[in-house]
Amino acid sequence: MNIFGRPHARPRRVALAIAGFSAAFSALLVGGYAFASGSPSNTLPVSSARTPAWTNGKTVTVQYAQDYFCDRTVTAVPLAASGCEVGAAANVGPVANPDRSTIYVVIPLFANPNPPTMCPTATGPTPPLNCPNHPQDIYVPLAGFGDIPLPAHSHILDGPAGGWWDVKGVVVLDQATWAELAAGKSLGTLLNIEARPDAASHILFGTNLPTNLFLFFNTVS
Amino acid sequence: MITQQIGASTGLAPRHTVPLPVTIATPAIIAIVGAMITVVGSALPWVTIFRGTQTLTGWHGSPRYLAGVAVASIALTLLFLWAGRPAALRRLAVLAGLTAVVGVAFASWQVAGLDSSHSVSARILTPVLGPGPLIMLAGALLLLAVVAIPTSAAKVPAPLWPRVILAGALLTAGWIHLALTPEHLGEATILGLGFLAAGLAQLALALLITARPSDLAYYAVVGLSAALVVLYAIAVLKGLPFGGGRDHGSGLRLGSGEPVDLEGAVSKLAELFSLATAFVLVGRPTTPTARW
Repeated sequence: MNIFGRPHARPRRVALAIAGFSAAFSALLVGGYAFASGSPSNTLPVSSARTPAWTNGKTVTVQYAQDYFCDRTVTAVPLAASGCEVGAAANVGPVANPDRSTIYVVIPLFANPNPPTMCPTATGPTPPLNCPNHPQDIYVPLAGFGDIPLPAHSHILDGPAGGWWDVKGVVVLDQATWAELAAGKSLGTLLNIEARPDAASHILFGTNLPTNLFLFFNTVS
Repeated sequence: MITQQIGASTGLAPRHTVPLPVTIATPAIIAIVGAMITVVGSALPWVTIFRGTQTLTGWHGSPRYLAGVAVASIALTLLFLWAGRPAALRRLAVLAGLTAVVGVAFASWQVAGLDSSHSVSARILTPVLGPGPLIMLAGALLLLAVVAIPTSAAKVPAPLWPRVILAGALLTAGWIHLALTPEHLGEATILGLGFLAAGLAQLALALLITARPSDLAYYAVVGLSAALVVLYAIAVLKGLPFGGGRDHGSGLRLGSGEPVDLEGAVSKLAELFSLATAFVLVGRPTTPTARW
């Protein structure tokens, strides 16, 4: 049974020409756009991007000179997931030196935190409203979803260092604790809250929530 | 009004259109309503996480693809009616409908399972089911109304099969583009609009190839598929200039651009298949039989 009928050669030559023209046109279009806009055709990190962070009782500015790193050896769904997870510690870091500083990514699990988070969105507005050189998504073990947008968060540093930072999660459950952290602006404040007997009802898992994520930045002011 | 083409199964011209009997029209309308409910359910909140601070609709996860399967099921149901009710097309419509039902039920069960557990993940996420899963499941079940439509002795016209397969590939690629539109709009407007345009064009071509095949339509498939494959190759090997330097997750890295992930691989395979099939079909005679 011939389900195709008899072919004609000329329309195929036309189709071949259309395919070639279409491929060349789309490539030229992208090249032309890149040339006209001065934007390079790659996904390099936004090296000049900055965000605030809290350390030693004050708000400092940090500049992200490189893109983030997530240890994909701990990723549950390597092909589909973002590669970054909360709740799973990294097996390997971005560089061999294990002596890294720690950044505590403080995530409010309540509506309308005051003051607002330092990184309100993972996508959308340009820095500093989003989070430069952060992962856009993060893997959660929620079947059917996997990757979700990075939650809004603020930063607490364990010191004014630079280079690669080990990221730990801090889940804040209420506005009063959030306001206390914002007033203290330091790891000391966070550890004080963690040391209280009722800490579990204010900060989930204390400061012991690991991630497989590393950020690269320097404190610039 | 739902109608059928008299003479459709034989391919004999002239044909004329008559209203369907109510025993056929009623389940068909139920299935159409079911498809609409399924798509609406996919856009509703499926689950709230982080103590209600973040809502995930079905379009944040795999339910968006199950909505695509529901669209495929209703498209096959309409094709089944239009082609004179051959049994093979009803089987395909039922298969797609069942896939949607099982997929939605499984996804809902897994989300609900995490909700009731006391694991570390559950304590961080605190997931709570929204109305999306139930509404989507109800819609998917209505898709199965197609089993109530009696089949005829008609066979699927042989020239229709390659076009149905081509339309299936276009629907696959087109729906993936539509599903990825929201996150690409967040990345760059031009990128999101490109995904939307590509998805709509592929769905329109799937409809056109099935209902009104012509060399012009095949040329359009060849041109669009070639352009999209080349654009993806540039995105993977070098990166596109309007992505804003965003991360694209993990996958197979072949260059300095974005990695090849599952959705990208499936959509590009579907487009390469579409291109090859359209190339084979172009120039074939479009007789009344070919158009059934």
